[in-house]
Amino acid sequence: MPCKICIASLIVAAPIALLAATSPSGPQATPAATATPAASNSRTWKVDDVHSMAMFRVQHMGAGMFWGRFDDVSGTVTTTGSGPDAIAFDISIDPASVSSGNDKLNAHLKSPDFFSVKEFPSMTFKSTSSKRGADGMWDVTGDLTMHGVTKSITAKLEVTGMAKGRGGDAAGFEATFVVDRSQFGMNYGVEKGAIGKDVRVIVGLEVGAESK
Amino acid sequence: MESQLILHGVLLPAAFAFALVIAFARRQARWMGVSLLLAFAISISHFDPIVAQPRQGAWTTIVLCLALMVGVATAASDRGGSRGGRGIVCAIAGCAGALMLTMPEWIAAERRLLLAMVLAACSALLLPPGMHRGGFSFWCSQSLALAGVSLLALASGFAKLAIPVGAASALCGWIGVLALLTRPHRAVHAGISGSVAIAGIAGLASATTFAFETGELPVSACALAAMSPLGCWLGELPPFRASRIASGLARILGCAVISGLVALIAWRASAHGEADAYALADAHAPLSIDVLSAWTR
Repeated sequence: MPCKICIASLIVAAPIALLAATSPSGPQATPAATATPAASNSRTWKVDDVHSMAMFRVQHMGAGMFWGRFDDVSGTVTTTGSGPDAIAFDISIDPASVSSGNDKLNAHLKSPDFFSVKEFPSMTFKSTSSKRGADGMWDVTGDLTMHGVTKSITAKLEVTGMAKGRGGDAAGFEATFVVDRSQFGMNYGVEKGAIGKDVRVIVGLEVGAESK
Repeated sequence: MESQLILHGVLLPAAFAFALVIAFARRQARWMGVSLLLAFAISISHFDPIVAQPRQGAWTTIVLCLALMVGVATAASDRGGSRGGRGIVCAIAGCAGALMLTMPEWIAAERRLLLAMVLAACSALLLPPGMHRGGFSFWCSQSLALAGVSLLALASGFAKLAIPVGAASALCGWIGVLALLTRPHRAVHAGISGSVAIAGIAGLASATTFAFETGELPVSACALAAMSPLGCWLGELPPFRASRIASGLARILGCAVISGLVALIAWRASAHGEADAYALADAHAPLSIDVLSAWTR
């Protein structure tokens, strides 16, 4: 009889123990944690367009650094946990949302001298691979399409934080990269040195987990 | 920096085209349109190669449209023909240029047709004043008209378009001076080719400005700019037509008033502020400041 009780206890306890070992709890629910477990933990995160933006910096007249920003950033981030697509980005920026703090300069930036927003109404970045470095930063490589031209770039990505909010899980990313705008056919002011060729771009993203 | 922009974008292309005028135009007026096309194209290609990899944007196809218009007009200018026949040639050239234009806002068939009608009408209507007295007053008035179109593009923040139109405007001014200096004035008459080229530059540049405009520039400013070369018709009105001087002044006044209106509307619509990328360029010429040099990397 005691033997039968032992066997029955084992039958009941085994699945419970198994469930306890595999169930996501605590920090494992965050994107950082999803970067380590198996690919079955794939999650899709939607960019929070209110708390996300892209900043750019370019040298003006060989002297000061001029800053501008794009207000409309949208897209999705997918975390699968491992492999070259551990973190995958599909981001879109509306160039018409460019803002410099000066209306006249905004009009110039939207014109064919720069972003030609009527002709090219969207800038996109689709990542092709991601790799985590020893310093904890990620190297995210992907195709940047801007001004009708697509080029491969690599961005340095930092996972800035994670939180569990009222709307569900949230995470933050900050990506930095430099583009040679003349390679995208945007060469106004380059030849005369009035406006720099290399543009540093910093994209700040806050993403929320999409309900499964 | 701004002086370099004017030198490379406006003065040098206009000077190169002016050399063509001096070399050929005294014999055949058909070179006038080719010269204007050349000034326009050289100016554009200096800042935005027309054939480039990666592509620079659809707006550079404006050169092809203009080339088609000038080509049709130049080919027909040898044929002579009646006044009506020449008008029809101008209208065909205008239609051809407008129908070739592939830009935002001008894709829809009805808009394209409207543009073709406007460009055909402007080309045909500019011919009589150009044929009647195509010397100093004509070129001077057209220089003012194109200056207005250039200002329109500048006000919309489209400097790359404002510069080549400015080159064409400068060339018109120089031909006007040449017409004043050389006798008889007939030597530098605009002819069909020149008239079509001017109407084409004004019409296509205004249409392109409208196509890429993202601010609050009113359509009326673009429409006025496209028709500004026709301001020279003021000199063809009965009170002025009889006198050469009165007619000439009226032509210049007509174009100046329309251009002034275009500039006024455009600048009032555009936001205020020193925002151009080249603003304060001269004050920002490269400097060597010992203390700062030690700090910079």
